[in-house]
Order: sequence, then C-alpha cells, then structure tokens
Amino acid sequence: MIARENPLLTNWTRILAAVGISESELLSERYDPEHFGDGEASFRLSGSIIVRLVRERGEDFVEIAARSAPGERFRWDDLCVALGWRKVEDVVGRTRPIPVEQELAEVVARASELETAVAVRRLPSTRKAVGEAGEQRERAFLEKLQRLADAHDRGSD
Amino acid sequence: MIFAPVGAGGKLLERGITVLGHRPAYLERAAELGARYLKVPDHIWERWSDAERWAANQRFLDRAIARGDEFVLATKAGAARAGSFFARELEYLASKGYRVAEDGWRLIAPGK
Repeated sequence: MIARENPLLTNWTRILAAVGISESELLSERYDPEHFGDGEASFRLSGSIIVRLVRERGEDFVEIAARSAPGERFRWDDLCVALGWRKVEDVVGRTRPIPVEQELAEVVARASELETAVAVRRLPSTRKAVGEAGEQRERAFLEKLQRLADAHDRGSD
Repeated sequence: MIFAPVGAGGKLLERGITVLGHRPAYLERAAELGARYLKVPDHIWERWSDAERWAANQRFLDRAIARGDEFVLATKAGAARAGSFFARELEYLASKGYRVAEDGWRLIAPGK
C-alpha cells in the first residue's frame, strides 16, 4: 500500500499559524483514509508544551503534553477543568466538540499558565489534578447516560 | 452503497456484536471479536454534512438495535470525549433505554 500524504497537516498548520503559533516542530503524524480520514499530529511549541491534535470522524480534539514527558497526554478539557478554566457540567453538557480553532486560541491565550502547569516541578500536582478532573468528567457523563435511560423507562411505562 | 457496517463474513442481518469506541481501540476490539463497526472511507465522509454523518451513524445504530446486537465498548463509556460521535452514540442508545454495564465495557439492552 502506498502511503498517502497526511492532508490534515496543511489545515492544522494553517490554524496554528492563524492563532499565533508560527513556530512549531512536527514530531509525529498519522492519517487513515480507510476510516473516516482519522489522524493525528503532534507539534512541539516553543517552551515546554507539546500539542497533539486528534481527528476522529471529522472532528478535532486537543491534547497537551509536557516536553519533559511527551508520552503522557492530557485532554485539553480535563486540563481546563483541573486548572479551573472550565466546569465539568459544561464539558459533559456539550453536544458537539468545540472547534479546534477556538481550542487552540485558548491554548495560546493560556500559554504562560500552561507552561507553569507542565513545568517539571509542577507536573506531579498537575497530573493529580487532571486525573481528578477526568474522574469527575467520567462520573458526570455516566450520570447523564443514566438519566437518559431513566427517562426512556419512564416514557415506556 | 459504499458505507457499511463491517462484520466477519460480511453477514449484516444476523444478530451479533457491534463495537463502539474511540480509535484505535474500536478497530482492535472489533478485529479481536470479529464484530461489526462503522467504517466509512474519507472521500465519502468528507463529502457529507454533519447532519448526514450523524444520520448515517444513527442508521448504523438502528440496524444494530433491530438485529438485537450486543454493544461492546472498546473505550469505557465514561471516557468518551465530550461531544464526540462516540459520546453521541452512547447518548442515543441511552435514550433508547440502553444502560452502561457496571464494568463500563458494554451496554445492557432495555428490559434485560
């Protein structure tokens, strides 16, 4: 099979530049034409931050990693909850992902706070807070599913 | 029609297992179980609007429900990305009465 160029890179690189990230280094990328055009790419920004963009069924998601621990990726939502920038109920109440342009613009706007959060000295406490945020998000989503199933049962009584 | 739920042996009408989740887990789990999963190539998916994409996705779920398929989750339900197709699939199935099993890895059909 002949490897196809990753068409996501052009768009993502343009978006990174549009939000003010003009200097980034591409660390890895992948594209799968057979399954929705899913793919991903990781970019090292200046400073300590690595941004990983994930395309799944046409929708983009942002993850953040520290340069000192590139394999440990935090979902942007969980990081935002952990650092007090988003509420779990808003994340779980969402019916569509936030456009990647908007997410990356927030990454840029929060860059200095993010740098601090993923600095080697602060990474353990950030990791703990993100883990707790993820647990809260998971609980809240399961409760949402439970409420939907309960509503179905009440309707079919 | 090019898009189709893929299953071992290509039999689309027999009751079986449908796998949902984020990638790459759902591809791996479906291969492991010989189960069905939604597969649409990029040139089709990119042509569709968001509404058309969801309509195709919903048809895939409705057919699985009609067959009485078991829904196996390759990604734990709680770990669905907010607003993603996977999260919407779970919400749709919950609205049809499906409940997440205690271990988080499958859905229990209504009335079971």
